[in-house]
Amino acid sequence: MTMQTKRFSPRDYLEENPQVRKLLRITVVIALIIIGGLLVLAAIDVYTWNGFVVRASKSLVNGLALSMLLFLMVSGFFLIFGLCDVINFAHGAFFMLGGFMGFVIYLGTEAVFLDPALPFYLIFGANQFALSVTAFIVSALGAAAVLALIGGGIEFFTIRRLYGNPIAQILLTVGFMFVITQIVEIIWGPSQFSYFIISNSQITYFFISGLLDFGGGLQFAVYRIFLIFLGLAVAGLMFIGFRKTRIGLLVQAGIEDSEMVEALGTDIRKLFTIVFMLGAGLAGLSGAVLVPWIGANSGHGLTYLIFAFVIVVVGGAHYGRLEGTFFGALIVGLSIQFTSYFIPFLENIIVFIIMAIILIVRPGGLTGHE
Amino acid sequence: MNNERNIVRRLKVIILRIPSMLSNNRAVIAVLAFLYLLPLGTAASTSPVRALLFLITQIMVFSLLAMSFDLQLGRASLLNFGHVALFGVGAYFMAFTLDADFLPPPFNLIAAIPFPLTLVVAMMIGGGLGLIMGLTTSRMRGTAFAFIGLAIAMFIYNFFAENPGLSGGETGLRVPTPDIIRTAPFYLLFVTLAFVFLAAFIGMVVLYIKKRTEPIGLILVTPVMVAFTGVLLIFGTNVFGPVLVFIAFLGMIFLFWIERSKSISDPLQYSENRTFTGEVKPTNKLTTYVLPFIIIIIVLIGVVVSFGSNIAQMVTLWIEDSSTFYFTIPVQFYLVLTCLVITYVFIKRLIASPFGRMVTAVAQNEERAEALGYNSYRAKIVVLVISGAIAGLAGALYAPFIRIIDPHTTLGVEITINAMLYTIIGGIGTLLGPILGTGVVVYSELNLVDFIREGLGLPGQLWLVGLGVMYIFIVLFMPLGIVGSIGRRAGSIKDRLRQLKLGQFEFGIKDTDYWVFGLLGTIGLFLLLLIVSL
Repeated sequence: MTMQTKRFSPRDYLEENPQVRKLLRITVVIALIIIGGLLVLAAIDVYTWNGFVVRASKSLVNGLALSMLLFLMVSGFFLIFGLCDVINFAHGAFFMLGGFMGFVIYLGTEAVFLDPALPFYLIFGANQFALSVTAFIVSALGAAAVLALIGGGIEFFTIRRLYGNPIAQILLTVGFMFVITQIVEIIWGPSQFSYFIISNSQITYFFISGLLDFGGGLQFAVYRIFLIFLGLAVAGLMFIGFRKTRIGLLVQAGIEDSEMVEALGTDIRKLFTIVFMLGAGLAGLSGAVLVPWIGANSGHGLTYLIFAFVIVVVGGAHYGRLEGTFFGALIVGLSIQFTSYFIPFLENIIVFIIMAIILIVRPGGLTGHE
Repeated sequence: MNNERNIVRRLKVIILRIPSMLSNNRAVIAVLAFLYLLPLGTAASTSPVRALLFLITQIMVFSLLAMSFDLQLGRASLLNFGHVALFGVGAYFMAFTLDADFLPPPFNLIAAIPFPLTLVVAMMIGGGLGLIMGLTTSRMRGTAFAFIGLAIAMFIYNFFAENPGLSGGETGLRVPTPDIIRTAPFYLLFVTLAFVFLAAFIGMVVLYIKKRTEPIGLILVTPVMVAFTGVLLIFGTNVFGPVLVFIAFLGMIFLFWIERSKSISDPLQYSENRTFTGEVKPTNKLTTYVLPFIIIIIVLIGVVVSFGSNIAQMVTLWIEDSSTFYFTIPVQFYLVLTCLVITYVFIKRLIASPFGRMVTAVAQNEERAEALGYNSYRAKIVVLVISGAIAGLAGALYAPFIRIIDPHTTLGVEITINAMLYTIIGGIGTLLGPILGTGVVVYSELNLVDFIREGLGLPGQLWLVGLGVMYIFIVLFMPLGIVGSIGRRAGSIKDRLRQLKLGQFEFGIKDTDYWVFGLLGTIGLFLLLLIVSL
């Protein structure tokens, strides 16, 4: 090889000329603001000012609720991927199973509380609100616990054998996804059937139902507002846990450089199992929390698995941080809801468009390295 | 003048190479001859063979898909979750080319492309999508490639599902059968091909029996010829055909006897009886040319006699009503089988080529391969393009075969997972594995599910759960799948077979004899399936 002719590459050129880069960035931001403004104006023109406000606020509330839910689920996926480097294809199935577990545990708890022969009847027999709240908490925690056990068992007995062989691990998780989906379909039927708590409960009552009405079509389901706060609370707890507790710090360090953590004397295998339990538990929790909103459905596994992929790619797949996942979930959740209210035919495609844009502009995602 | 002589010399070289080519691919030729003969058993009436053909065609289409998936996963270590997109795009393209009224005017021009050419165009489209997927491999390293593929596949799925006008929506899109499939000349072309394979098969058997002059040669050829006669008896229409084949078989025994009397069974005996003169043994015209050709011609006549009325009925059926199910199924079978054979040979050659070695090197250790000067990125892209073309071909064959396609059955992620099941259960990185795995899974899915539901009164999906558990076990404990695990023990099995004894008699089975087991196994399997389906 003698002289190699240097080809013109826009990326190299931008790196050599920071001023041009700065200028370009400002132009892009201004262009985006202008495009956004034009879109808003067009929307106001089509739906009138009042309709625009109603739609925008509805999609904002729904989008925030969906984002929080997605964040709860995807953080588990992200932790497993970041620390163990396992793409857990069974995560969507965990989520879906968590929904069914929450549904079953809720009804079971309710039946126990309403059984006159048991002492619980004295406390909850008359107070439907307390009954419903307790049953809901029990169902969410129970689903999380069951899924954590399942996830930990899967890691301990199978995936552990295959570290160092990432493709075999993926194939294995696909197998679990297949098996879980088939079993759920045997028990609860195919994805045409959705299961809701209110229509199946004995007292046909759920503690948060109904609408918050501000008049003029501004109606919000209370449960979704509740979900936003619940998600924020759990997310805050997680962030604090990662900053303050020893395990959280270890997990964070392991995502950055697992070999170094191992060399410093941590039993990384135990950490892997714990993270797997945590991830599966979060999937179960989010699945159970979703039930009062969208219901438990055997088709959810695949749908939400794809959201998880997109969010992780947007947030930063390799060496990314949990904050990236949080913002990724916000972007995906909000954009899904906004498109479903304003540009319905893009609803199912928008996440892939976002993913493509992120991959072209920042292949490492929001926080990850390239 | 010189040029003409050159051509003649080249032809001569090709003809002289035929015997060695036949001897090198015994098992493949034997199985192919049987598979090509099978559709001749169907005619204008209902027949159990036709249901079997339908099933096998379906298995072969999905085998193509599984083989293309294995090309990525087993050879290049690329786990592509969007594999179904390649398949579905081929299927939808084929559907659009077959119905001119479907797409709006500027686009319906693709319907002007004649049918066999559309297969090529569908392959090009699949390859193009594979190229797009390949370009993304640089964006995401390693396992994360699975993300992108899935995202692309889901994008295409959603695009088609959201546009029922384009995809037929929930009810599906009716795909007409291509015109050329409904013509008798197309059918007769394949029948000719069947007879070519048959002649190759008999020639191979003759060559084998001439070479294998130990008693084992005759012992092994006997069941083959008995099975062959039996197949003609079962599928054929009269007794004269099998009788002619039996006569040819007697001729073979005669040939064996002549060769054996000339051969040297014991080198010591040879040196005692005769003196070595150093002369080249003159070729015996009787055993080299006359007898073998007589045998081949007798067998061909026998097969023509057995199946002649069936072929004639098929041609009459074409004249009367070519659109019936009866007519199209054997032709579809032939078409798919031919595509499968070409793909199989192509992949086999590709893996053995320098490029295939390079792909393996890249898959095993990308950094090392790059340090050696290979372009791993380009290797991955080329593999994805080839694999995409094969998957597109599978889709293009699937659409007119299954007649109704909808986004769920041609673009759903379940198809990728199925391809994964086929490949893993059969064995990754093996050529036969995906085909065998597809056969096992598709057949059992179609039959055992109903059996469990109706026979045992349990939910039929229990079998799918069982399949999933089997898949998990194979991933954990048998990473090479069924075929790979058997292949790993092939050495010890061969040793045991070589030492196989019956009393004083030693069989001494060698590598050259395994085609017999392959052929007998295939025939036995098909007869079993036929009996079960009755």
